[in-house]
Amino acid sequence: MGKDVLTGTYFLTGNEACAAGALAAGCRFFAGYPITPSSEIAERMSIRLPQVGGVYIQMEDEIASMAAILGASWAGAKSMTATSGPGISLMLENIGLGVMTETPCVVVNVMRGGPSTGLPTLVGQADVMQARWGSHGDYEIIALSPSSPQEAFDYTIRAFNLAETWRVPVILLMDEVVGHMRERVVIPERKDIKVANRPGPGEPPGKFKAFKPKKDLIPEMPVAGQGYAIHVTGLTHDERGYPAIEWEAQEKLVYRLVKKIRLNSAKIASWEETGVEGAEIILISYGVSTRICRAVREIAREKGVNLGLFRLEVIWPFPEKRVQELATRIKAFVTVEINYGQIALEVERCVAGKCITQLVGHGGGTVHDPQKVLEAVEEIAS
Amino acid sequence: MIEPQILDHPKDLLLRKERIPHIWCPGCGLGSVLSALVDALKSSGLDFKNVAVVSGIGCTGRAAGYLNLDSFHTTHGRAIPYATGLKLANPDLTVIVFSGDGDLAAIGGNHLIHAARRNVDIKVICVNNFNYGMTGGQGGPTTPRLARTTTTIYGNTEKPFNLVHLMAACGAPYVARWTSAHPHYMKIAMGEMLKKDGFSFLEVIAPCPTNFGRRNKLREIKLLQRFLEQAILEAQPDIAKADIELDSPILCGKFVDLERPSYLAALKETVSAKVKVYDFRGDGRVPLEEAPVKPAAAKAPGKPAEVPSERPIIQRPVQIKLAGLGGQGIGLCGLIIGRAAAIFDHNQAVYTQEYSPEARGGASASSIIIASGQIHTPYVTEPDIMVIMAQGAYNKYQKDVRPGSRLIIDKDLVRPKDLPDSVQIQAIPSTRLAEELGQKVVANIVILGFFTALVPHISLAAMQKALKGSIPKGTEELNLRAFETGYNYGKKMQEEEAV
Repeated sequence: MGKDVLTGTYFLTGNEACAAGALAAGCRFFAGYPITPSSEIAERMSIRLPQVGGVYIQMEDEIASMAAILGASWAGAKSMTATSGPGISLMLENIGLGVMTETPCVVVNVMRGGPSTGLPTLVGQADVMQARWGSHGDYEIIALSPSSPQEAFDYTIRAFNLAETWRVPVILLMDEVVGHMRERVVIPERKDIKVANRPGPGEPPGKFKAFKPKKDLIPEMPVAGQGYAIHVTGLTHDERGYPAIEWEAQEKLVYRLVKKIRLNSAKIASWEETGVEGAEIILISYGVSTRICRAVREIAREKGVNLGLFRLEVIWPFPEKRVQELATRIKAFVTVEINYGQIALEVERCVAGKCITQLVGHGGGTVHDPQKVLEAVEEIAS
Repeated sequence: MIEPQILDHPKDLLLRKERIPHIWCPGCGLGSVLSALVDALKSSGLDFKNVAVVSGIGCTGRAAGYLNLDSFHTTHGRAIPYATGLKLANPDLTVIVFSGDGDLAAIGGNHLIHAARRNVDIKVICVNNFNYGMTGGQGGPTTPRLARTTTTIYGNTEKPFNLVHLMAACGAPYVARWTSAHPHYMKIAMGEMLKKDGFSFLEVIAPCPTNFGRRNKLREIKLLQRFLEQAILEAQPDIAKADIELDSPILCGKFVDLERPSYLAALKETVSAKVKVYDFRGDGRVPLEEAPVKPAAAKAPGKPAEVPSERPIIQRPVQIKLAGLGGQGIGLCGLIIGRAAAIFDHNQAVYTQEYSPEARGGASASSIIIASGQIHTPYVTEPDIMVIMAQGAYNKYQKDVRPGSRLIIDKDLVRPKDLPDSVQIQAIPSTRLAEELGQKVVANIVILGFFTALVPHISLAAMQKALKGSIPKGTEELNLRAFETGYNYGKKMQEEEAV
């Protein structure tokens, strides 16, 4: 059996690093369908998975890919798929099934410009709300956004750990720039990589209820072949997993699915603050746009403008408390994202009028011009 | 008086008793099919712990929930890909898909044909009741012509699928059809499927008296009666004659039973045997000890690798753009420059590539930014150095050549024109020199050597190390000679210029 962690220093694309991260996290099943700009993840997985005893399969479409990774997860494998916007649109049906049946798995969306076929080879960041609520019904989900190939490696591992811990499909919202750009990537030794695994059943078959919430509202997860005769359904179900088509069961289940993320958001949400203390204006961003904001900060510093940066590592759940808190102390939040206002709306909601909120949007196809961002900042500052 | 004794029903073991009674209507065929499956499982000798059943949506889709097995009630049409994931992730499982005609053949039709094609190791039981029962009896892909449903009240105009024919055409190695009036044959077919490697398919024609029967004058028992009376049971039925018409007999039997390597067997044979050694050609892995940074996660105190003495210090990011025609290897050049700077010179480097829809032949460019500090913006916007290897690429990217910048070109292939005087042009006949070395393909490495001689931002040692780690085994000698040729050409040119 080959090694799943090929320790060393590389010069990798974000997509390649993502595949390496998945293997390091313990991913042993990948089902996917080719799509630009994510295909390199599938290509790399098709080479590497058989070497480590895993399975790669190219399905007939993204719907099937998503269904297959859910099935694989219930067979006990850590599983993943990777796609871009059009593929996510097809996967959303079974992402919902994954949410409803609390199935750990990772879905990578290397975002390109949309809507529809849009800009297959060029960057976008407009699938942020789709990641949150794209499937029908009410739910909470986890999404992360790396801003470099190194983070693509690190965050893919985080994504698996979060999926296993909170039993929910986790979306890795990469973007085309991060997916395709190369930078130095350091892959540590196996022993230095923290890996989380789903909690297994604590009771023998018979007494055990597969959907009874335990610690942190998370049920323990048996898998097929362990003798638990589990029943897993996308219908509203009771703690045994049996269909329960009534409002009381709906409230109990769906409220728990929402609460398990909301009430634990302090353990899940993650962000990075740079120069926020004492700043009058804070840029808020994620993914590749974070890099642009860092460049803006450097130019601003030369001009004597004190600019903070609030960078979302985990986008969903959104760090609302911290944003609320900061809003009372600053003049403005400026959201920088490659869309015409998605996270900006979330910022506005949290700020609730306590400071100025401004969007510097972009249609996609390339990254922001730092000067444009700076102009918006200077206008507010003056 | 004799005390009444309550015994377990012989099928209880495999049913979730607490979920009975089921939701199926009186006269529905689904109970018989489920019952036959229970019988087949009981006689199979399988360890039920390792049997999983997957259903989609609809009346048949509820079957999974009544079986006391690991059971999965998935989304509409998606039982087959879900089952594929289960089986491939744990090959010890016997995975049965139990679903309806609308679920498997309409919304899930694409999955059905591809699962049969790839011969994935699952057993598909498709209960065909000619309509969408749960949603109120609408027509579907198996509704016979002229049949009345709630959406074909004037009579169905479409030709239905001949599912057994379809499955055989897709390469399924086991295909059979029975009706719910044939529990014995159903059980035999299911028993054979449980033993069969690869994809197996059983269509069971079942009555839906409530919806289909009611609208086609085939109420209650009449439909079942029709199956019994009109079914043609043949040992070797002709699949081409298996079309189903409203009033015609239904051809039943085993249509296909042949040996074909299953998906898992083929995977073992073709993939597993070859993966033992996979050389990461051009992956350029460098041991951590030689790397500029330790991973944040590493707890080991180990010293960071020593900064190379020849490391160029680059205060302001240097932007480099390389352009050529597809196939000239311009991307590899960029990759080697990036590796040299980011790994061996302990600087930072960001590499991006311009993608065009042409798979080959169009002008393409790759860009690298190098700095000793952090690099934020990933794109090259104002190149300090451009390397151009073909006229087509020059025509496309000439607009990016800035006053005062350096332009490195292939002397024979690029004729620069309309450039500001301040552009410093440095030319090498890289393709010609490569041809002299015996291989035109190393022209990119010749120009890389030339670039190394002239450009101060990457050390020679770093470039040589990066080159070695980026080329296929067995080509080292040729590539190193090509690099040296370009490097010496550049150094000589510099000396001559100095004189």
